[in-house]
Amino acid sequence: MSFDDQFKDVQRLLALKRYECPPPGHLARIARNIRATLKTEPRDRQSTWWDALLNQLDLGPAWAAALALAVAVAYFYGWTWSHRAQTRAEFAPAIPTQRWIADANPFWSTPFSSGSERAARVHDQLDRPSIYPILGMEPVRGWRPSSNTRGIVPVDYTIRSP
Amino acid sequence: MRRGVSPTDVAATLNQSAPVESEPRPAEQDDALVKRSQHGDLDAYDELVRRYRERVYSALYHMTSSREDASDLTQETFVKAFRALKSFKGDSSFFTWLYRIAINKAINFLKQRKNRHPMSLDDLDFNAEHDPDLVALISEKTPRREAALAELQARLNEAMQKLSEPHRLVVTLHDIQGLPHEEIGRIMDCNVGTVRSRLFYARQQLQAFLADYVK
Repeated sequence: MSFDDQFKDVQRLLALKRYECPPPGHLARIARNIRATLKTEPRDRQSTWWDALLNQLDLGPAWAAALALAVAVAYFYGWTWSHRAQTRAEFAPAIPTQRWIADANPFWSTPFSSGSERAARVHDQLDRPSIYPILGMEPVRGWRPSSNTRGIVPVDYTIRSP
Repeated sequence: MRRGVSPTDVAATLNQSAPVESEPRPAEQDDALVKRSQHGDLDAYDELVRRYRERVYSALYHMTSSREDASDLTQETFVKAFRALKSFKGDSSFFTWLYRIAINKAINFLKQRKNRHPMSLDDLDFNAEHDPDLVALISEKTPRREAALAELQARLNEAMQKLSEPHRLVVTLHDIQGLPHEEIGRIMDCNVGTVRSRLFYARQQLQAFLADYVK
């Protein structure tokens, strides 16, 4: 028994549905409504922003392939660059210099009037690593209180200039 | 009782029993009309509507068992298709593309229509009473053939509404509209095996629902 023979009676019954017809003129009325709806709409109106976007992105096969290739190349380049062998120099951490500190904080950058001997000396110290006393000053324990700092700064910290 | 036409006329008019491949119209004509429609030619689109409105309406009607819903969905399908014509590249036939829109509309609509909806059925054509297959099925049950046909129509539609949407769809497209499995696969975006398996289970369920009428 074939696939179709198995359900011959059901198929015969379903054939009845082919005789179900809309009233005369019904389909013509639908066609008129469709025409009327389309006439009242601007031609280039998209049904949703998503439809519009999809239509914008509707690329031909060649362009789609080119785009996919470009994305793949960019991805491959990024992956190889991030996994490249790094040199020892790149690994070595940069030693912060006092110039960084001076640039970051105006207090340290203008300690003396420019052109003076002390200013020149401080300038020479700018490229020293920051592990040395900062611009010739070093924090030491002990605070020299004054009328401005009393009660604000802990008494056991002070900065002694050379 | 409406006009008297032969069963072949009915089939030809509804264009439901003939497979798509036996379309008398050449595909180029559709392509030309689609191209003109893409440029905003409403007359060309009117011609496409005229060609396919019966089939689209019929598919939607068999899916919903409601004349009003089928009418609204037919309108929406053609309006949406016109708006989306720019994206139609001709990879499939216009008919297949249009059917996909219609079927998606029907499935979305049926998902939203949660509660059971009263059926509003189209009238049976005059020739249904003279279909030998149907006469054979009905005459044994009752001498009042017309009443029996109406009852059978109602039972048939109730049974169809009990099927899941994919099952109802394959029955509609294959057993009622006469589309080949391959075309249905293209419309539903699935392979022929899936179509055949859905058709098998759908018929099996229908056989159970309509046990009174099936030997």
